[in-house]
Amino acid sequence: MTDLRRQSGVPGSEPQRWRDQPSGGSSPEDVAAERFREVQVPVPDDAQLARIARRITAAVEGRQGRWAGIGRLRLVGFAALLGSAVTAGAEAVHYVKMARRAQLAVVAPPPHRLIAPVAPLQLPPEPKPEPALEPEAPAPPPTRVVQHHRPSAPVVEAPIAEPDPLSDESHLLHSALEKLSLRGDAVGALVLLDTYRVRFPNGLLAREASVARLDALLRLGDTREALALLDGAADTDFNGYPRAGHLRVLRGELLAQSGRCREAEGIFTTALGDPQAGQSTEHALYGRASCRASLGDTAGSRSDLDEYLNRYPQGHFEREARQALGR
Amino acid sequence: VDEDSAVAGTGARDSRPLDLAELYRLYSRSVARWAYLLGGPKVDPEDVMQEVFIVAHKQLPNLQNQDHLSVWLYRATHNVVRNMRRKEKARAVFRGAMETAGLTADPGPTPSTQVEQRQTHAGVYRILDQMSEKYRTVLILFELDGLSGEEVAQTLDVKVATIWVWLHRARADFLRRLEADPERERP
Repeated sequence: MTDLRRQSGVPGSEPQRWRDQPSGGSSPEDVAAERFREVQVPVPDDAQLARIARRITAAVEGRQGRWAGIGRLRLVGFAALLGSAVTAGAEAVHYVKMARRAQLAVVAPPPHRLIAPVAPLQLPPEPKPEPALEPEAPAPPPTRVVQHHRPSAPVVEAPIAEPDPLSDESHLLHSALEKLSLRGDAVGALVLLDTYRVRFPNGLLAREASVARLDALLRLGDTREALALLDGAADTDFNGYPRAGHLRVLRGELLAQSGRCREAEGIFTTALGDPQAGQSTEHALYGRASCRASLGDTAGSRSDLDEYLNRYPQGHFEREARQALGR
Repeated sequence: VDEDSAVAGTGARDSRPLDLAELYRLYSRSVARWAYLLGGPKVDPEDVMQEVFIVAHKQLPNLQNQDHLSVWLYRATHNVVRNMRRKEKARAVFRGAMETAGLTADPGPTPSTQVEQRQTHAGVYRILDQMSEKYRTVLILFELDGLSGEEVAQTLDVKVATIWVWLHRARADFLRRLEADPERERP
């Protein structure tokens, strides 16, 4: 065994910390020391601590689920500790109400229904020179193998022993994704995802499971169920979902497909102003042109298509846009 | 440990039963620091603080006679951070799987996210996050938090001699990974 204390040469002394070594030099230790010196720990100010205190108050209240005599007073007092007693108390009440509403809203999801694939909606043809525009087709299947992650063993004994359901949960979701991506078995994946929903109704990976379900539904052509799933997620503005910007635009496309072009147009317009929409902006722009054409806004549709061709001359819908504009 | 001594020395803690408000007043800054140091850039320190004090709230009756509250809180912080990192790893695996589907295809980093990624990946945590939990923790406590070997040993509930062995191995592991780091030369 190597004893660094003995290595330092002074009995009872500690080895010098890397970050305390003189700067400069190019040895691996010097580079490491420089990396450690880069770390600056921010110190929270009173306002931040007060905000976090209010979060804790709201969370504790929410978990308790109801006001409890003296406990209520202590918690509000806790939130008020670092100032703003009235505000904190009011916020705590607000959060509790929100939590209760959320609990009421959380009901067992309806069983998943598989319906026959829905034929793509043909938008009514526009008078020439405006041809009909069709929304985007569902996405291609995934191909990558998913590696199952198994967390490493803990180092420090936990003050509170907590069961770790993550392993079972991730294993089940992993199996569903494997069916979907490796075998293209959307029905099998949905069966596993149904099991997941029953076993882990508030799972840590519930949002990821929802996106996997969405993928499976679209593969089966079940756009109605897919739209229902997206409508549900839209209630929280896709908060916490992977690729939320993309899902918003996808919902717009499915709405357009189902004839709800006015709603879809609003979603596309919002997405076009969203800096996080990324590549989905292209879909949003073409989708809005499509919806505007369907709604009789020929000038707006032409304007969008012109902009589309300017921004995406090699885009996915370049050919359709040119045809629509008669070029 | 230092926080407990400071609290005792200033008489900040009196004989009243410990409640959440007092615990937060005395230790919130320490927990914030641990949350930042242990979590690194991928973990939100505010989320960690919230969880730690919720756990503490549940355990208040058992904490009344704790001599070293800071050690207890440090361990709670460590466990919360470790769980969050594990969840984030699991999420990242599934995010990767989702990206293979055209449905959730990665649109590619925008210029702003590229900058953000550089910032996130910069520094010591990119290497630390590749290491085992044990070596990662001992490096953070000794090198970043500045705890003495004895304090690290007390915090991790092992012998001081063990800490020196772990530190030696952790440093060697860090240097080996740093050598292999493609961004090693970047400032």
